[in-house]
Amino acid sequence: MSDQKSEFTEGHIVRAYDAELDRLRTLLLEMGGLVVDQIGQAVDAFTEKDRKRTQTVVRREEDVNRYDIEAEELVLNVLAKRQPMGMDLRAIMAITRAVTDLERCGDEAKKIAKIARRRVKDDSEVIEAFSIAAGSMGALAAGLLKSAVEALDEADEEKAIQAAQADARLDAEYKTALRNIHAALISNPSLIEVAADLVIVIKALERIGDHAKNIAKYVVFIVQGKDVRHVKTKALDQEI
Amino acid sequence: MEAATMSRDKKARSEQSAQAATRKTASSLFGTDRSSDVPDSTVGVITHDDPVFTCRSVDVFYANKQAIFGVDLDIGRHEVISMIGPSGCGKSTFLRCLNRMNDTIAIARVTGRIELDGQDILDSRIDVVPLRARVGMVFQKPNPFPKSIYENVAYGPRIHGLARDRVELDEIVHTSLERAGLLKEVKDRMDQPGTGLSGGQQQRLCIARAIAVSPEVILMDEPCSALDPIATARIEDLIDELKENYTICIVTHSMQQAARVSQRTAYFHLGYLVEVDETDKIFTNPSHKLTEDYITGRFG
Amino acid sequence: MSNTSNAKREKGAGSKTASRAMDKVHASLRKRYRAEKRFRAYGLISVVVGILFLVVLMASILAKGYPAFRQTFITLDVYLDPGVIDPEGSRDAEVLRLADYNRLVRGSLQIIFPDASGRTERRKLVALVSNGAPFQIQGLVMEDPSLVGQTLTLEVPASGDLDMLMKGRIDRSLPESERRLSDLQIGWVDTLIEQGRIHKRWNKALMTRGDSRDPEMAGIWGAVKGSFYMLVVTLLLSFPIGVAAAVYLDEFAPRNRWTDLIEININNLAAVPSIVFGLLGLAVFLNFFGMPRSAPLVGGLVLAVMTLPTVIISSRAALTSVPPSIREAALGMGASKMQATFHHVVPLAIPGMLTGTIIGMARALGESAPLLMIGMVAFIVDVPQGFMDPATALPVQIYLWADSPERAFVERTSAAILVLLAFLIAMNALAIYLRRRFERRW
Repeated sequence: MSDQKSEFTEGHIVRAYDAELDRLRTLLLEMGGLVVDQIGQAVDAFTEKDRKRTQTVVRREEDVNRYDIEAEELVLNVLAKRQPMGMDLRAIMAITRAVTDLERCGDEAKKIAKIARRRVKDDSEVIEAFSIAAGSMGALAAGLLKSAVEALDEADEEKAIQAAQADARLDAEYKTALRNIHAALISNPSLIEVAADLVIVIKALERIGDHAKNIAKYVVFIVQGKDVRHVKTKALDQEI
Repeated sequence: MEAATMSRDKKARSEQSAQAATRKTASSLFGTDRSSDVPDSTVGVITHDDPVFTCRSVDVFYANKQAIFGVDLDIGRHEVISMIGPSGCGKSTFLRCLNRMNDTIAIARVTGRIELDGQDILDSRIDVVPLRARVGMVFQKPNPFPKSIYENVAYGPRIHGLARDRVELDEIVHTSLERAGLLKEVKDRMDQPGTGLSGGQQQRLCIARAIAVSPEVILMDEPCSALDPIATARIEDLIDELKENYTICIVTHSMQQAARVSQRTAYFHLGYLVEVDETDKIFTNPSHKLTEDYITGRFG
Repeated sequence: MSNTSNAKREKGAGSKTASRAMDKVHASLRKRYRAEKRFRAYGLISVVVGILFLVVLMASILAKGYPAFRQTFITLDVYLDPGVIDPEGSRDAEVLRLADYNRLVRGSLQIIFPDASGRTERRKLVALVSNGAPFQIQGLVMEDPSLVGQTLTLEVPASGDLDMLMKGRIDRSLPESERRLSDLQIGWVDTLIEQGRIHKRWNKALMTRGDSRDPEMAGIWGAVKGSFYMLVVTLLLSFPIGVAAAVYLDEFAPRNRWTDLIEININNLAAVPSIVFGLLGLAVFLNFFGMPRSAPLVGGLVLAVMTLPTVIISSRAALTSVPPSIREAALGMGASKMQATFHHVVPLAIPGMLTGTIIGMARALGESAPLLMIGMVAFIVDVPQGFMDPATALPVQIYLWADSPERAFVERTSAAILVLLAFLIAMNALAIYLRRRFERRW
C-alpha cells in the first residue's frame, strides 16, 4: 500500500519534504499493521492459551514504542523544517494523534497478553465460554483498527465513518459479555478472580475500539478540517 | 447568544465556500480531487461587517494586458488583511489601487469600484493627495528620504499643514516615532540622516512617516522582504500594535508572516482573487485547490 | 553483493570521468591564462601609447609656452625733456597725451649708443625697444605731470626680436640676411648686456593686456574676460533652461511620439558639429535680430544653444539615477507630483546636473569654431568691459596668435594654451569634486 503515491506525499517543490512525509505515512502503516497483529496475537494467546504468543506480544511491544518515538521525532523535524500548512498540517496533526492512539492500542494488547500469560494454566469452563466472546471482540477490534488506519491512509471519509460507526457493535458485544460475566458471578462467586481478569481483557478491547474510532475521526479532520473528536458518532453524518 | 449566531454565520459561509469550491471527494490517498482552475467567483468570505474599503469588480490593465480580473473584496476597519500569492499574481497591483499609486504608471488603467467609506476613489474627480493622506503606504525597500530622521517624519504633516507651529510638529514627530517603536532608538539623533539607520530601523521610520499624517489605512507592500528575521519580528510586533488604530493591508511573500500578523488572508492567482477567509482557515483548511497548493508549497 | 559491486564500479567510473574532465580543464586553463595575459599586454600597450602621446603633447606645449611668462626688459635712463613733451608748459592732459614720447626713448638710446647715426641705424636702434615703451612713459607722465624735466631710470619692455634673441630663439650663427636682427643690432644688444641693462622679468603684460600687434605687448586678459562674459551668458541660459527641460521631460511629460521625437532630437543635437551652431548664430542673432558682431552676449547665446543638449542629457541622467523609491515615498505620503519632484527628486539630482553643466561649460570654453562665424575672431585690442563690447575668446585668441608670423607669438600661443588648459582642468576638477562630494549611491 505504501508503494502507492498519495497527494499528501507528492507535489511539493522541495522533494525532500515529499520524502519525509512519505516516511511518516509508511511509519503509520507499519505501526498500524504491527498493532493490529499484536491485538490478534494477544487475543489468540488468550483464547488458545499459547504461552509463546504471549511472549511474542510482550516482546514486540518494544517495537511499537520505537515506532511511536520515531514518528514523534519525524513530526518534530518536519514541523521545525517545513512549517507545514493546510492539508499537510492537518495530515501531520492527524498522523501524530493516530500514532498516539496506536501506541495506546499496543499497550492494551500487551495488557491482554500479560493476562493471557497469567491464565495459561487455568482451565475452568467459564473461561472457555468467555474466550469465545473475547475472540469475536478481538477480531472485531482488530478489524476496526485496520480499517480506521486504512481510511486514514487513504483519506477515505466514508470508510472512516463506517469504521467509527462499527464501534457501536463492539460496544454492544462488550455490554453483552459484561452481563454474562455478571450472571456467571452470581451463580458462582468463586470465579471472581478469573472474572476480574476477563473484564480487564474485554475492557481493553473496548478501549481499542474507541481508539480506532478516534483515528477514524481524524480522517474527517484531514479531509474537512473539522475537529469531530467530540461529536457523537451517530451525528457524524450530519456533521460532514 | 451572539456567539451562537456567529457560529451559524460561519457555518453558512463555509457551506457557501464548500459549494463554490468543487466538492471534495475522497478519491486518492490523502488527496482531494479539486479543480485547479481559477474559480468563477472568489471562494470564502469577501464581505466584512464594518468595511473601510469596498472593492467591486476591480480590473487593472497595463496597456492592453489585463493584470487583475474582477476582484471583489471588503477590507474591514482595524483589521490586518494579508495578500499572498505567487509572483506576478497581482497582489501588489491590487494594493496599489487602494491609494491610486497605479496612477503613477502611465499605461495602468483601473476600472470597477473601490469605495473608501462609501466614496468611490476611482472617480477621476477624486483628488489623490488627500486620498494618499488617508491611505498611507510602506514599500518593499525601506525608502527614507535622504534627510534627517526628524524631517522624514515631519514631511507629511508639513505638506498637509497638519501642525500649526513647531511645537505641534515636534509632538506629531515624537508620537509617530513612538508608535513606530523607534523613538527610543533615535531620540538622541533626530537630526542625523534617516538613511544612516539600519534596514529595520529605516522601515520603521517609513512606518512612522506614514502614520505621521494619521491615515486610516496603511498599505504595506512586502515591508519585510529586505529585512533580517529580527527586524522582521519587530515590524510584525509593530503591525500587531498598530492594528488597534489602523487598518493594515499587507502584501507578503512569506506565508508564515501572513499567518502570524493577519486576521484575514486573500490569495491571488494570475490576477484573480481565488480565496479570502479568516487567516486561520486559509492556512489550516483552505477551500480551494489553488490556495491549498500554494500554501503547502506545491505550486508550479 | 552484486549491488554493492555495481555501486563500486559506478563510483570508480565516476571518478575516472571526473579526473579526465579535470585534465581537460587544466589544459584549457593554461590556454585561458595565456589569452588573459595577452589581453592584459594589449591593454597595457594601448594605455602606455595613449599616455605617451599626452606626455609629448603636454611637454611640447609646456616647453614652448613657459618662456612666454618671462619677458626681457631694457633699463633706460629717460630724460623727460619738457621741450619735447610740453614746450608751452601748460601741463594740459591733452598736450601730455599727444606728446612724442618716441623721441624720448630714441634720445635715451642714443645716449648709450652715440655712434648710431643715419635714419636706418637709428630705426634699427629703436627697434630694440618695444613699441609699448613710449606708452609706458606716457602713462607715467599722465599720472604725475610733475615728473616732466626729471631723468627716470625705467625698465621698458624689449622688442619681441630682442626677447627672442635673449631666449635663444634667434640663431646668431645664421647669415645676417636670414635673421630678424642684424649684426649691428646684436652688437648693441651685447653692449647692453655688458652694461647690465638687460633683465628678464615676470611678463605682466601677458596676463593683464589685450591683444596687440607687438608680441611683447600682447596679453590674454581681453580674451579671458571675453570668455568669462560669454560663459556667464551661457551658464545663465543653458542651466535653467536645460534643467527645466530635463525635469519636464523626465518627470512630467507624457510618454508619446512627440516626447520621443524631442528626445531623439536632443540626442542628435548633442552630436551636431559646433560650427553649425555658429552659422545658426550668424543667421539668427546677427542677421535676423541684428545683434552686434563680436559681442560676448551673442557668443554666449550661441554657446548656450550648443551646450543645451549636453546639459539636458546629463540632467536627465541625474534625474533618472534618483531611485524611483524616493518618488514613490513622496507620492505615497500624499505629496503632489510637483512637491515630490522639487522637494525630493531635483535636490538629489542637482549635483549630477551641476557636474554635467560644468562639463558642458568646459566644452563651451574650449570652443572656437562657432565664434568664428559671429565675428569674435576680430583683432580687438581693448579689454571688454561688458556683454556688448567687442571681445574675443581664449581659444580664438590662440587661433589668432597661431596665425601670426612673429616668432614671439609662437611661445605666447603655447602660453595661452596653457592658461586655457588650466581653466579646463580646474573646471573638470570642480565637476569631479562635486560628483565625489555629493553624488550618493543607491
